[in-house]
Amino acid sequence: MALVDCREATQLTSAEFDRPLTLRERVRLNVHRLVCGPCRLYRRQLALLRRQAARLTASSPDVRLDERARDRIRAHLRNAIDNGSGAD
Amino acid sequence: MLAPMTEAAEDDEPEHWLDRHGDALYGYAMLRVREPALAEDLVQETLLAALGARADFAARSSQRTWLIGILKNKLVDHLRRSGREETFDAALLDDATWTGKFDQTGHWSSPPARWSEPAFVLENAELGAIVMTCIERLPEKYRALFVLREVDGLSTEELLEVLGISSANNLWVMLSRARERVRSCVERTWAPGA
Repeated sequence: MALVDCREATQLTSAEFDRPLTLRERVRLNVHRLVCGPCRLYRRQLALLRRQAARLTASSPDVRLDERARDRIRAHLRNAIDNGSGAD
Repeated sequence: MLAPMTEAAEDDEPEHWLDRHGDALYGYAMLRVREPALAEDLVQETLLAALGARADFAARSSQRTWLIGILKNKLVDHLRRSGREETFDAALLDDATWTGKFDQTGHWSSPPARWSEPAFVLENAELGAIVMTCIERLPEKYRALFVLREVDGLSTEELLEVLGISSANNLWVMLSRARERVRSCVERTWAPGA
């Protein structure tokens, strides 16, 4: 079977994080990795990114609603409360 | 001992939602969409929807979790709408991220640098901050895709449904490009010893 090049190896390496590879894909990828240090490193870096992303708090830190937006939202909310949306 | 209880009861009032959870909701939206004005609108829609659905909140979860849940639905609605204007497939598959990464024989033009080694420099707060910055630099659709997959952990099926992407194969190609954008951004930004 045809050899995997680095271009295809990076696609398969990423796909491993989303789905099980087929037997054929696994074999071809592993054969490539035996001889390709950069592609082995690529997998470790994607794994590192995944761990880092999973640890992110679900929000952007240090962002704050600015005062104008806050006032506008507050006004809408008050208006809705006064119109009884909150009473039911 | 009476004062804290009174305060807590008052905090449950819709008027206080904005003060208590506004920044958290806004930060949640900002990680997933890029424009502040859009994120602000999503926060507003969320609080108004929460007001109407207040009876559904029976302290089963924390108030913030409940509000974030509503915000998630608003975000998905937004992504569906924006996917109809310019599909994810069109926006991402045309992308030239991959051009130049590999030479004509399919080998790396410039192989990944060893920024991730040795292991002791990893997993630290600084790297976490860089990853966050790189996510924030992604174009909107890549950002949504990357965050929904890697931070929120949505499955292939869920992503296809939410984003209206035409096939799983396309989705996986797009994810590989999103990951490569973040990876190469981290590589450029991370300078050990600098």
